[in-house]
Amino acid sequence: MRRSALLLTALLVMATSALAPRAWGDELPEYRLKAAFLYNFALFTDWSASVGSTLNLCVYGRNPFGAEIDGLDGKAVGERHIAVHRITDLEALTACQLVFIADAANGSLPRVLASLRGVAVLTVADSAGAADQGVVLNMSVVSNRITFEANLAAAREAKLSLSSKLLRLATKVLQ
Amino acid sequence: MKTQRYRSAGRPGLTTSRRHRGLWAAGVALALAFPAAAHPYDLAQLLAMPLERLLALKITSRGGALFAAPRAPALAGHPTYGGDHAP
Repeated sequence: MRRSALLLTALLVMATSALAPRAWGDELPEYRLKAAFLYNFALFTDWSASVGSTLNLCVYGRNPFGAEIDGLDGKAVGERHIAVHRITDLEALTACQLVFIADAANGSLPRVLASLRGVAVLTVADSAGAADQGVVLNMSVVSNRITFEANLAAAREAKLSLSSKLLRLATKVLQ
Repeated sequence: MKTQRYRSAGRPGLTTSRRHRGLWAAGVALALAFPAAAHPYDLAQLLAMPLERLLALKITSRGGALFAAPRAPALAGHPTYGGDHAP
């Protein structure tokens, strides 16, 4: 009887272990969490009053969020509401208030930043060194957690005001 | 002091201590196999969390959805690129 109980336990362990990686992997994917960060970045940023009631959130280039990004569509940020767009045309980016630069690591970053110079756009990326190059907020993954750094000079140049709380939580703030 | 064992009334031959041991083993096995069950976060739940909480969460899979179907509308007045494939 004891042997059969042990056998049953062993079978349970094997069966559940086989299922576990899938359940675990589906729980919190990187870009689901990064989408939530994008929303928070919008919450902690002040655009000028000239921005209307819609906050255009644009994903430039290849969209790593998949359908997750659509979960932000219609979400309220103060009195504004987010509208999600996927963009490949550089000129279209000036109509956005928040731009996620997906291909920042692929050499597109200087062109994107040049096209947005002086425009009130919150630029966000997740590529190493992007903040140093002029992106306002750059996310990284450290020990499976998302961290971010802020480029305050780039924010000032874009006439954006980042909340002190956001800056306090950044791992690095470039002045 | 000698440990007293009781025979199970319903299952002759299986002592209660053995039965308890078996149940404990099964419980531990299930708890180890499904550690993520305690963190079933979908996007709506994440959006309701403060930033400090998001910073503490551990991602469980890296990488993005590179070929997801487009859903978002085009930006008015501008040519857009609806999918994830470069033109």
